[in-house]
Amino acid sequence: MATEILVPQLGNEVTEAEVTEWVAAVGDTVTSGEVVVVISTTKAALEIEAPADGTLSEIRVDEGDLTEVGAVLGMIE
Amino acid sequence: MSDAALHRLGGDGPDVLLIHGFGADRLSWLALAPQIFPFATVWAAEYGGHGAAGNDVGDGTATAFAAAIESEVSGRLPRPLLVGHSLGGAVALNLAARGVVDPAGLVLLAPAGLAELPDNAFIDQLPEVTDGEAALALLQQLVVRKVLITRRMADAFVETLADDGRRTALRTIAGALKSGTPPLPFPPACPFTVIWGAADAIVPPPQVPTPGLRILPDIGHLPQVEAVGEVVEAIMAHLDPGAP
Repeated sequence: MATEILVPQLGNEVTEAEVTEWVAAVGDTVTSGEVVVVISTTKAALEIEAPADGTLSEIRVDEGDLTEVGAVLGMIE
Repeated sequence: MSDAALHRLGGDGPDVLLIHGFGADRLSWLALAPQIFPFATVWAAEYGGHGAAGNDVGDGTATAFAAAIESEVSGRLPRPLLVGHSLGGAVALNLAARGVVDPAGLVLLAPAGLAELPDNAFIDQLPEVTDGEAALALLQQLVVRKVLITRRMADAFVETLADDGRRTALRTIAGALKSGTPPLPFPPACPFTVIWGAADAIVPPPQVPTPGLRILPDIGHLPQVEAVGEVVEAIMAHLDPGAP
């Protein structure tokens, strides 16, 4: 079963963020709680952890691209 | 009196008031605030020279900022948990000591005033930056994991200094910080926790026994970014002291 890596809720005023760095690559084995991607705004950065154990099967938003709160960043299978 | 502004960031539950550090603002709490939305109403205060507050900083001291924030908070947040970072930690301590706001507790993240500032301090240089490259090099001193400070952030910070009034305000605050006066009202009368990164290059951890101090290895000056889980745990422990 696939699990989505989502851009979390970032507060009342923040609706979008940039993908700063993928720490994990497609095909990497990841563990729940391990940082897989870093996103940032013009004010702060946030490390996003894997929501499940598995393999990072897909990256949907590349480094340097802007994305919105709730968007799917990647998939774990 | 200095300017101040109060913002509700989100969440529902007991009040938690976040007070930022020098050069930051309410949006700097991005990594921490959403983590506590599920169990707290999260507010952020901004003091003069920062964010949506004006550029009147009074004498630039934590005392002045505490008075300004008190006027925004008094009667609105009856018993907030105060979470202060760096200069914001000194402001939180002063706010608690004034006796008007009755805090449920304090979580102090690398609070200014408890340890000596290094020579050629970050605070001297920050108000003077004029380009993104220099700002990036300076701001990356805040963290161990450099990826957490981006060129986009550095450029945005330089943009805020296009307002000469803001640059002057930051210079005044830097001068007050370096003077080290008035003495910090520490320890506070309410329950408190002090969290500090062992690798903090901006305000290195105190070298003397300090009540309530937890030092986190491999963390810089922004534990609320680099060790968000530990900070959330400390906040939860204050909000629900009976929890395991």
